Amino acid sequence: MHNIHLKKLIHQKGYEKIERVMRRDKIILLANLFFYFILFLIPVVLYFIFQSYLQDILIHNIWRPVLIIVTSIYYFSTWIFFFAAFLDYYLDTWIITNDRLLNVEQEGVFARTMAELDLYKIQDATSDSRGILPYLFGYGNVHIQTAGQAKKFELEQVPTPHEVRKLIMDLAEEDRKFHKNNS
Amino acid sequence: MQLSFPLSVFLIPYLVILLVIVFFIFFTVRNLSRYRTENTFSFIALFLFVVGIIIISYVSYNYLSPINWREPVDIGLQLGRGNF
Repeated sequence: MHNIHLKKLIHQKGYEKIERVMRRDKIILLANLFFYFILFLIPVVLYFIFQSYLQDILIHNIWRPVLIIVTSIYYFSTWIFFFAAFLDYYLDTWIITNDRLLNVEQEGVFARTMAELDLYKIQDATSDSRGILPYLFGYGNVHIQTAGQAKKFELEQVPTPHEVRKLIMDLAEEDRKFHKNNS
Repeated sequence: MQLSFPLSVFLIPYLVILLVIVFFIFFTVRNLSRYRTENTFSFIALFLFVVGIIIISYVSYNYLSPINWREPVDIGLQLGRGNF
């Protein structure tokens, strides 16, 4: 099978070095895991709540197979959506090198986007950590503005956003000096 | 009016939905194997996913196999008489 190995993709330039590979904060993944854990528990909880009513259904020659089929579909779907949510987290990656910033984003099962930005083009970067959960767990967004591009480049829900902003700005400054010396 | 059909008719929509699920499984596995960044972690994740699918399939089969799918389902339709 044809593999797009991200590190191979980045090592296209001889002088290029990966500074950081980032994903959304782990708390985002944990929140998703918790949500799907609740979804897995719902049929069990319903069974115990309605146990007395279910006795008649569970011995009925038609309702029993129907209930088993519905439960089977429910668990198959929940497991697949759980894994799709995990992939959505795992395959969304931001790669910071000393030359570029790459954004690889998985949107659901059937959509994937890749974008890259030359560091020397960065004009401004801002970071924020708004809300109770981001503030408590220390994650947030980094917005990057470049010359000539209306759309901002964004790193969403990344850990330590202020530190990442500083790293990007420092690397952008170094990259500008490098391009000036080589031009 | 009496309508009668075997219980196995319920398996038709089930199989259709299972086909859609298999379609999603294929693309999910394909995405992970194509776009992975770490081999070991991706392999563990894929292994756990497949184990989950096998467990759900096994439990579903265990519950569904003892059912007599040839048993007829009778539905009685009562046609009302209009009162004029």
